[in-house]
Amino acid sequence: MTAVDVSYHEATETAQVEAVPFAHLSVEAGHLYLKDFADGDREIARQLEQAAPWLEAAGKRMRRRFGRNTRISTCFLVDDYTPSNSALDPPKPSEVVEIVTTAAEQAGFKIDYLAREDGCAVACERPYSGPRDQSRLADVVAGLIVEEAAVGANGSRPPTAQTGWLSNGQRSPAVAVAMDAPDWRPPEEFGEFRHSVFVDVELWSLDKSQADPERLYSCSLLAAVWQLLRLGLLRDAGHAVATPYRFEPGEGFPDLWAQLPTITQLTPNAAPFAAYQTLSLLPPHFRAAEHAAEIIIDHLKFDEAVLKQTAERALGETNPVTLPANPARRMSHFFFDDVHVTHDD
Amino acid sequence: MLALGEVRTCLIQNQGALSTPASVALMQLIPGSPVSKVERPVRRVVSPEQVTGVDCRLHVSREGRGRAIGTVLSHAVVTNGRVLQGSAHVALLPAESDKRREWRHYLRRPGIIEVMGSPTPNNVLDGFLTDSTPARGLDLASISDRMIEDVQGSSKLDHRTALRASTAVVRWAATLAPDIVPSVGIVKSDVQNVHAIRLEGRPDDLPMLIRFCEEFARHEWLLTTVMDVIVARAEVDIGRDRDPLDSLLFALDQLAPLWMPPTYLSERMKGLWDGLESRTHYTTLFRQQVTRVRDLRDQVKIRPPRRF
Repeated sequence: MTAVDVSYHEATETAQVEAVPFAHLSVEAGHLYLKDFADGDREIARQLEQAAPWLEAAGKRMRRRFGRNTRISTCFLVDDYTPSNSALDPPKPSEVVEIVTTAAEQAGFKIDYLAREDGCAVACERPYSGPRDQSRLADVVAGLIVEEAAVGANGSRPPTAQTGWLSNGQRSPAVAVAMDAPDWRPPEEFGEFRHSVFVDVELWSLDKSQADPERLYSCSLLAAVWQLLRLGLLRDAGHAVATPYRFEPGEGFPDLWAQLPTITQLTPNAAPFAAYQTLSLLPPHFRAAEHAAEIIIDHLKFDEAVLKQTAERALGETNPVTLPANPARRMSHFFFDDVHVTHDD
Repeated sequence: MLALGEVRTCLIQNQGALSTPASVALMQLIPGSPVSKVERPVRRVVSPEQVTGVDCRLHVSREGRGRAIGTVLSHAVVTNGRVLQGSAHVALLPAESDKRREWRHYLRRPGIIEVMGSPTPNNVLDGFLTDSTPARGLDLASISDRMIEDVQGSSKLDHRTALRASTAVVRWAATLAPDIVPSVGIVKSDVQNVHAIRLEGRPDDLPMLIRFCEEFARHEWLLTTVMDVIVARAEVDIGRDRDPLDSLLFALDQLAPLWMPPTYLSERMKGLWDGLESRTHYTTLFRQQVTRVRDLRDQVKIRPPRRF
């Protein structure tokens, strides 16, 4: 009798990871609150005008590396998550798209993708999307966080990430009355440094007045989600999320921001939204949130299959790209200054 | 390389067996991370791995000390929508640096803890297997127990027990080396429902050894539950003229189909399990118990108890 080699597998045993297309570089050309559009195009024109030379410089560097087939996409993030105190109605998506497109043209480039921050908390794949085509991305990212182990942590206590805070080291022991604390100990950042830069990041808050409060995610966490989307690293049960949506000619924009997809593609033939490298050109007040986002990304347990898929794809390019093992090292930032020059002409 | 783990097995706190979608929803402990599901030969739904950071002293037997820094992996398993397991495991490697590194370094190697100091491997294994409660060293008991608690506390369950059965604990420790002959040594502790397993295998056997311990834990729990809970109680009940039919039928309908030795998984797993069987005759024992359950059922049917 011959032994027969039989194998049996079920497809649901290991999840398939959907691939996403990649550009070489994703440039975030600006980031505005809805209320910033109250003055029409003044704020955005200023941001895009400041971004233009750096975008050009980054493009030049990429083209030196990758030649004519360089793929660069530009995006712009509108914050519709932070509640507005203004009594005025927020501008409609169609109005903002119009302002953004025109302002970019004046600055000498194009914005390929318009994203909204609330869509980073709950991703919407298409206009007017319901729970079926939504993914709770902020929950997904919060679920990937692995907190730094405190010295002495042997697994007996549950992780304190449940508290909604994440730090990059050992917190200073809680002291009830500072005056009675002869043995105050400083917090300590873990790593190979002589001195610490200890950061404690608030991930979410809860409205204590409600019986069953929902998490209100912080800008830091949403910034991390936004960066991870641009790095092409987020999946929901293996599926790609927040895929850019392109409105057909004649298909009108919804009137409410919440009805807009997370990412709207504005230009035809744009390079892919996600990229091997990201560059964020931002006003200075985003510095802290971006640093916090980097700390969050540094504390995530990524799906190995997604990391591997991305790394292999990058290596398979005509000009192979070697990605660093740490995804946070694929991000770069440029923060503008607040210096204004008045032209006298 | 060494590997340590602990598996806890219990009955899921739900009146009925969970359907496949309910099992999958229950195992979705991390939103967005994939749940693994296999239907045959038994339905096995596994949660995504949870990662817990640790930085603690190891509990080392005899002499030596070590500081362990890294991450422990843990997952929950639901079998046939009935039996729940919480499984925590970790592999130990010597640390390359004598100082704690940045967190990203440890996160890149989930399920690995780096040991500073060089305690003898045997002392580490013995120390882990003999550690007390609460643990003085690495506390995989709490981590695996939390997996169970997280699942049992879910609002997706009705929190009613179909049968009062206890939680069984299997604590295991493995030595992994390239040219090692696989071996398994099981010790039934004097504490009820606690077993300690010592294993040897190749480094790439680790996933199989983890699975072996989970399979051993589930089968051991089944055998104990049928033998010491269902049959023993039924005999007492019949003696006192009380009706044990519900729990006898529960054993036949719900527990007996769960007996499915993992010999179908791979040749190496078959080798391990066959070795276990030839020493313990677990399958024969279980069959005897199932036959005994049938006999008791028939006995109850022929001469129904007077008291209900």
